[in-house]
Amino acid sequence: MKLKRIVALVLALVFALSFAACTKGGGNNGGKKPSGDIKVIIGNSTQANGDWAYGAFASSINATDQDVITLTDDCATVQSNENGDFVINDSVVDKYERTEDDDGNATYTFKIKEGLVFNNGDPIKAENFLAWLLFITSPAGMEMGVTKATYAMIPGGDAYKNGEASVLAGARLLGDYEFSVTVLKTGTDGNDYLPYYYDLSYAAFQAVNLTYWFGEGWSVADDGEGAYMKNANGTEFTKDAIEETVVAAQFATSDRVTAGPYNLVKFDKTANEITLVANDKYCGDFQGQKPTIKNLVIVKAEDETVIDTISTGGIQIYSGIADGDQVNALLDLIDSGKLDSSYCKYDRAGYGYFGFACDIGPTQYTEFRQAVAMLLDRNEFANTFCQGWGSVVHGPYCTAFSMYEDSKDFIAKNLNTYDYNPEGAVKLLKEAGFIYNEDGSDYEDGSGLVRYKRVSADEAKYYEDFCKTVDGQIYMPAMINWCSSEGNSVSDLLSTMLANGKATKDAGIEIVQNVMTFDQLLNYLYRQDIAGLGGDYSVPKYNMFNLATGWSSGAYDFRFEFTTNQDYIDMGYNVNHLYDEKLDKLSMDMVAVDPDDYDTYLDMWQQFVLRYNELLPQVPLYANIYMSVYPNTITDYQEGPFWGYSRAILYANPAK
Amino acid sequence: MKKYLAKRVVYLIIVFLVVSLMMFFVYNLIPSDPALVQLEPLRKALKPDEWQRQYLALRAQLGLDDPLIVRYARWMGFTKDIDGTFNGIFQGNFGYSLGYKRDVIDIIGAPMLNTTILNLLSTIITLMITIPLGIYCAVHAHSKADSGIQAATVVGYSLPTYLVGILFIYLFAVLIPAFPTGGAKTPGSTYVGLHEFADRMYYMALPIIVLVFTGLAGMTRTVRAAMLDTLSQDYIRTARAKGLREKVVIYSHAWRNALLPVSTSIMGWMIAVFTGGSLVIEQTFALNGTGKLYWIGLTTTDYELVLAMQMFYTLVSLIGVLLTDISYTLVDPRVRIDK
Repeated sequence: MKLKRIVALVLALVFALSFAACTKGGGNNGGKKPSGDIKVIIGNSTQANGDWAYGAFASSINATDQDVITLTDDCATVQSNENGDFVINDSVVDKYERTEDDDGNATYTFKIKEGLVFNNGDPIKAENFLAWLLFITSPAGMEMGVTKATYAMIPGGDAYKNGEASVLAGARLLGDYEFSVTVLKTGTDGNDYLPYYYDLSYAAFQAVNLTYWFGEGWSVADDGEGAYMKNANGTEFTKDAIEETVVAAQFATSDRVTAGPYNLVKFDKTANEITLVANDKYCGDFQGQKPTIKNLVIVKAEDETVIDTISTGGIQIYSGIADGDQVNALLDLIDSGKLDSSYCKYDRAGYGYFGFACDIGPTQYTEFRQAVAMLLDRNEFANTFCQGWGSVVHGPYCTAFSMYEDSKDFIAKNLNTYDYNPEGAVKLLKEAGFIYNEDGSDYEDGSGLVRYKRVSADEAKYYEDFCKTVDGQIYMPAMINWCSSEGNSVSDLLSTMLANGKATKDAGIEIVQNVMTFDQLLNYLYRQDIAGLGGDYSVPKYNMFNLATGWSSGAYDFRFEFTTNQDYIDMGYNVNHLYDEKLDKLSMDMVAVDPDDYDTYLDMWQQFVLRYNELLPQVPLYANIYMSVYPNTITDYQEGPFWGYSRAILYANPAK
Repeated sequence: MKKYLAKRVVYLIIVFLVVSLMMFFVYNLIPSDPALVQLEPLRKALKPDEWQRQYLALRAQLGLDDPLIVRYARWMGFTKDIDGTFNGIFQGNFGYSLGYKRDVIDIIGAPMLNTTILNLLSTIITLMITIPLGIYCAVHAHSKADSGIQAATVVGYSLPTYLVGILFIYLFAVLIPAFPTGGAKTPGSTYVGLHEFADRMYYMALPIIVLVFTGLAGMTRTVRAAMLDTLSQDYIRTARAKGLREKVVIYSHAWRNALLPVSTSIMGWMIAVFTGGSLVIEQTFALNGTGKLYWIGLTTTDYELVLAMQMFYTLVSLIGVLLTDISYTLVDPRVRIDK
């Protein structure tokens, strides 16, 4: 009896504690109506690091951190609109002018509106827009780990960065509310920065509070030679002088001095929760929009339980859902009325693909690459993988681009869709010369053997281990050495549908899957010749990789991605190793046009896509359709490919 | 006792050093390069020569070109760091996380608190249930109740924690919405004091219940087996023959003797739970704990973070073993550790 009493006591203790908390603490949010100002709980699958430094410094690539930065630090001269296009922020900029000198260098001059303030009431002036630039190009910034070579594109940037000059000559403080920044046509790194179709992106400067980021006494000064950081007590702008303050500001968990639509109330590391409240001093975005949803809470969402959490109200906004099972489960909940929410859907700004190394093995032949594409039913693949929430693209684009919208007829008329066609694939293999058996005898269709092609020693380079030599002739197998990352569902499906597909085997192609960590895959992809990696990845070994790509803005910039310049290849560009002068030139020329000359840009974009589609260095597999769910307590909520929740929430209103 | 303790502490330090050496070498065999990680964003911005120059300079600055044993000595704080100071583990520097871009010591505080509370509470509750239950089963061995409990514990033992977690979320958070599905507090709440504590406990209740549920089977069976073994001993028969009351026989004679193997199991189980055993629970319930942090470190190749946590786990395990040995003297007067 006593035993029963002990067990009962323990159970009662646990449940009493829980239910006591339930009644006192408000309990499950699903059963609780928000009181007072509306609060929206946003789920994010990425755990926040709490690193609020801007892109060039510390290069935080944490998605949640970036969202918080967008929500809190959004007082910039240039912003990106819902189509991903760069636009002048009229809420901040009073007057903007772009001039060009005889050498083709461009100067962007801004007059900032008066009366703008940070969330602590400090006025925002021109110096606040120059401070970050002066920091990330300074020796102090470099020592502290700035990961962007912005200095190279600004006159005097190299000297300032190296500490040889005390001022950044290309940045000028022209008055309390006026400043300018000049961008070189050709940077000190040899890169051509102008003309550039997206050159407005160069003119994006974020206002930062000098005291908050660098400490007391700092201001931006300009004696006529260029802007520089100056301290009232004569302190030099060095790492030692500012590091402590910068790090404190970078990782602050509350009381950040910012000028965005929301203020960071608290980053609770224990609970993994970020609480934000609307900033009533915010000047508005490029359209003057200010938030009407007062309170936001960002919580960590776990993929395994997120649907249950949404269904019980633990998460109200969940963005960019790509998993077909999750999408369908949410639709069921909404349709059945069990979830008082709505949803929006939009095309992903990116696509998944498998790419080839076009300089080794059989994938160096265009016909072979095209044949492989025709051995996979890409529509079926996209349908299976995205469970109806995805589509197929036929080139290096996503359907969200205006260029795509304007090129639909062109694409339909000119692009090869590489439909599933095993017979056509065999025909292409024969055209490519894969007509032999390994002993040099003629290949017989349907034999089930792997095809071979007679090649030169140069063509067989790096593939010698797989090639056969018969009577002095080298025969290369129609064999792909595929490098795939572990735990990857795309790889699993590719393995089933392509590598082990009947059509592939019947065509006489063998695809050998090599599973490794993603880091290793990248080492092989970039052919890293790095001392510290403990392995020689610089020797080409694999010739097929499956990856995904995406755009965070509407800037479509493929410069150097198909370069034939060995310097740039060594820097990690052109991982497909497709050395085609025409494709290289198109990718470079496409963006080197005047921003106003859309017709020229569009024409080159189409030619680029066409050439890519013909040479097929990559085979696009799927482009997801994303779904985002939001509560019916808000209206006017619409996300888009370049318009995540951190932007969409600004335009949402409380439901009446 | 003091002599024994001193000897054990020396052993502990030696084992810690050997493990740290092995761990350091193993993690440094993995093809990962902190200098490369740091400079990778500049790869496409700098000319190859300039990038290579900066890369080599950074490697030298981080001391990556030195022999592993030299780097190990620096990491532990046995020799001076590149900057000329002693700045290793023994000086309280547990390394720098490349993923979080912060000192490891600054990262592990919050997760440690969550994991400690979660595991401490679940351990206490589990023991409060399993010890009486195990004794009851042993005393009533082969009865219907015992058979039923044994069958249930087999089922419980066979169920993976992950599955129990998902099942309990569905049952007690979705079907019967008594608990939240995850998280550590009511989103956006600003409770303080007792209210805050109650809120945290409410959010931690379901993970604790799952941990207790999954821990019941193993510990109940351990206690039952130990008690059964003890109850079959001659001295128990003697005690009963002397006419002692059954409760005295069980709790005074049998239980104290059965505690020896049980305490070993308890400590082993606790160490396992504390050193990452709650990873699955933390993942399932979106709790920010050390198990999850460890997992993130591994998947993002943040090896300084992983190494620091590994050393922490090593230390916890070694201290746990020492405490187990010391606890023997408390539960079994026959054990004398000062001899």
